[in-house]
Amino acid sequence: MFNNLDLTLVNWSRLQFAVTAMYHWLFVPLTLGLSFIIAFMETLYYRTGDKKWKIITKYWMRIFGINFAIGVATGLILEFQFGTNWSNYSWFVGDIFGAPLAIEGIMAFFMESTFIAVMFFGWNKVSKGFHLTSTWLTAIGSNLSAVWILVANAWMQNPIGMNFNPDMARNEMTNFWDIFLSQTAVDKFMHTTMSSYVLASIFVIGVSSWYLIKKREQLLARRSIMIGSIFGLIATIFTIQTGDSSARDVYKVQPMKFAVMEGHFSGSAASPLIIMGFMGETKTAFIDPAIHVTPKSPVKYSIEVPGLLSLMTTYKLNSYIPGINDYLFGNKAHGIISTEEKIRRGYEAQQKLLAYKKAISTNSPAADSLSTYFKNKAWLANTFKYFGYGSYYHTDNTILKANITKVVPPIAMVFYSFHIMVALGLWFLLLFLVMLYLVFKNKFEHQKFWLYASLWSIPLAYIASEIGWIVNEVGRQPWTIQDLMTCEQSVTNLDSSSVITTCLLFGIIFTVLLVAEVTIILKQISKGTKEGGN
Amino acid sequence: MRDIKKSPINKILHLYLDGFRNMPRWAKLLWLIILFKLLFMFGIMQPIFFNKTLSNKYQTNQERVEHVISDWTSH
Repeated sequence: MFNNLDLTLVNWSRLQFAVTAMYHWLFVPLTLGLSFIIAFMETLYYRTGDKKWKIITKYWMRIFGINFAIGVATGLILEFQFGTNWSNYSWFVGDIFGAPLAIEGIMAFFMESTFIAVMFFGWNKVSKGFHLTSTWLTAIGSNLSAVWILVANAWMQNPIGMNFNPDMARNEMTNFWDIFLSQTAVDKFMHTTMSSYVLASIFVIGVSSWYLIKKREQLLARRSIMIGSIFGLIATIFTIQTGDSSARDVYKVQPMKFAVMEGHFSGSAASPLIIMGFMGETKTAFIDPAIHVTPKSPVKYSIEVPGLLSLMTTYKLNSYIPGINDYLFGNKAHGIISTEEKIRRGYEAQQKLLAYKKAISTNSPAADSLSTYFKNKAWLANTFKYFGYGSYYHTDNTILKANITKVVPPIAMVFYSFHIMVALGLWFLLLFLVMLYLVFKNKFEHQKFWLYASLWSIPLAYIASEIGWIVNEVGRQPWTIQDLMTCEQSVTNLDSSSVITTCLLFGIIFTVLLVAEVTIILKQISKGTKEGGN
Repeated sequence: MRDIKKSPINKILHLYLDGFRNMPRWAKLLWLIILFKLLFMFGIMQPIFFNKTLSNKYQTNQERVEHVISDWTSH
């Protein structure tokens, strides 16, 4: 992949957004999850009056505060990029993005900032009840802040609840609840927050395990492992459930992404689920199903479970699950339109819009009849829906046919990211079960393997968290807005050197700062509670 | 006479001032890093590199619409 990296403006803009988003995502999950873990611990202090819980709560609050501070401002650069690097996209999404992001900002500022101050500064100054309430409101506030950006992202994957205004070339929200409560938005919010709770739990258990290995802070470690294991186990179960639900939604609204992440090239009834395999050369795997009945899959040494993909996707063991080739070349028997057909329809939609704009500018009477297309539900559902595909149109049929593969996202990256993420999720489930058993039986003495496994699961949790976003965002390529707008159409025509400069500047400065900040957090972990945790 | 010291606003201010004053050294260092990041973002990155948006590149919505449609329908 890196040998063929095309150093164009679009790809540098993509790279910059990906790197800055992944940097931002290093800190958010721990904030979301640790805020609740602290709230649980302080509740136990409040209910039992046991001062040791207060010491433990204040310790994790310190770690939370450092992580929160490190994460501050990392999201700002994403907002800057929307307006400058992706201006066409920002214009096109209209108030679909504007309202959620505004609410996110307001909520974050008022709720989190206010109650975080009480949480940190209010010990022994406010009542125990008010302090506890502030801690809970900090947790709830930070999680609610995340809702809005996730709703906006869900709309990118499944654009619904809006009308396109051809005069302004932007989308106008028609139904807030359609957007806010779409299956895509609900699955995305639940899966993202649950997986964040998993990461935070792994972090708590991992750090606590380190203390047990060093035979330090034993009480803090055991109690933290107990809370972390219970919270982590529940969160993992919900992460698995929401991931499963999310995959079924992706099958409906982003079928190409689904086929790619499952490594499913050729459609079949009773489709097998690939547990793992090695992705070989994929370009030669794009074969029209009408020509060859069962082309060889490029997934080598695969471990498969017959029928399981069909069962998990549609709850029917023998259902036909289309593959990448069905979506590329079409499958009339199963009602699947070919990509070539989508390109032609998208081009037709583009020509209608251009004709309408020309009619308006020349005061032509044709403007009225052309405008009716953008209110016609059937035309919108069958033609306008593929607007973005039109950019792959070419008058030369050979080139047009060759362009169909441009709607396939990077297969190996998405396939491996998805499968590794799932494997890690199952590992975390096992880890939480074992650690919960060990803490209740108080059996850590001869369990060095599990203590080290917990410690080394911290980076694994971060990897799982980041590659989940790779599945989501690389899997939707080439689209910024599914089927309506490609990355090439979305990007601002800037000088590549400007994008490269900001990419490098951000990379260098924030990496240096990250090293400084991580040093601070590691120092605080090594100091422990100072007041003694035994 | 109203006791100013006990007014709610005063209490809130005192909470923040006292909190910041009594922060440990490493927390003050973190705050310095935060301020540096915000200065870097708003003082350098945004005004120099992220200042060209459709809003300031074009004067009217008509121009912005034409630009977006032109890019959106290009091949």
